[in-house]
Amino acid sequence: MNVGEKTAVTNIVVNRTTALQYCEAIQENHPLCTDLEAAKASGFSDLLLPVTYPSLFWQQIKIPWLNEVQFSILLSQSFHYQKRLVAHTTYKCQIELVKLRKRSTTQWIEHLLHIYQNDEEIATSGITLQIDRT
Amino acid sequence: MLKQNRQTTYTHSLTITEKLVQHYANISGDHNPIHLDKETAQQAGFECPISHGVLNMALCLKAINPLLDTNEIIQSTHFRFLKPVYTNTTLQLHIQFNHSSNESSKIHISGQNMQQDTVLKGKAQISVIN
Repeated sequence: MNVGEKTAVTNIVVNRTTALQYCEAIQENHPLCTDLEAAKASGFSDLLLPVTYPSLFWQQIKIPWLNEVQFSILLSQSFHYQKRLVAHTTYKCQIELVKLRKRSTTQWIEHLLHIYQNDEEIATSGITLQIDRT
Repeated sequence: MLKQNRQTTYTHSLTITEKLVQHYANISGDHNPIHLDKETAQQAGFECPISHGVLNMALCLKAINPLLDTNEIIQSTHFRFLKPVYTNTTLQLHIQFNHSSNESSKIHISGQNMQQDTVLKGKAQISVIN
């Protein structure tokens, strides 16, 4: 596990059904996220994905350095958008290990999810995990 | 333009039910038993199952929606999870708006559990859709 390590780039397809199911799960009712006509009227190409939607991307990307980790605590989560994500779109994603700190058997690991569209980074999502290797 | 005549501070109650957590587990694929099983959660040192941090975050951000105008969206956000949020818990959210300009605004959110512990803190940047 080394700072700077990156996963392979993974294509992640977001379809409208999954987007709407996610909205239901988090009780998201913003019309731009649930009403296609409203989203298009506001200039988006499709349903606007909820801010936290990219958290689902993590489950689809293999992170080799976390293979043996069974339990971790989520300490923080962030999402930053140059351009908000929409449904009915394929995004290229890659996770990078950006910071690592250890004390005794505890590690604090910061990851950054890079989200690309047309080879341009349009969003990032960061998480900080605490792992106790006892 | 940002929404006018908006208060600076708001409060909002948020209940995170077991059903919500189970539904989120199914959608997200995160079936870690500390979120779903009491025995596993207790073995991990928790009183009972805890809700997903991202679910808590999403529900907090959803609480902001009624306060935004139709042309405003969240451009960035960052949350820290300070204490576990147990299922079937009601959080009291304190939401504070700080207007930066006509095109953006910042929101600070803190959530307290029924024991008055601050369990999460977050911030969000609101922008006007161009």
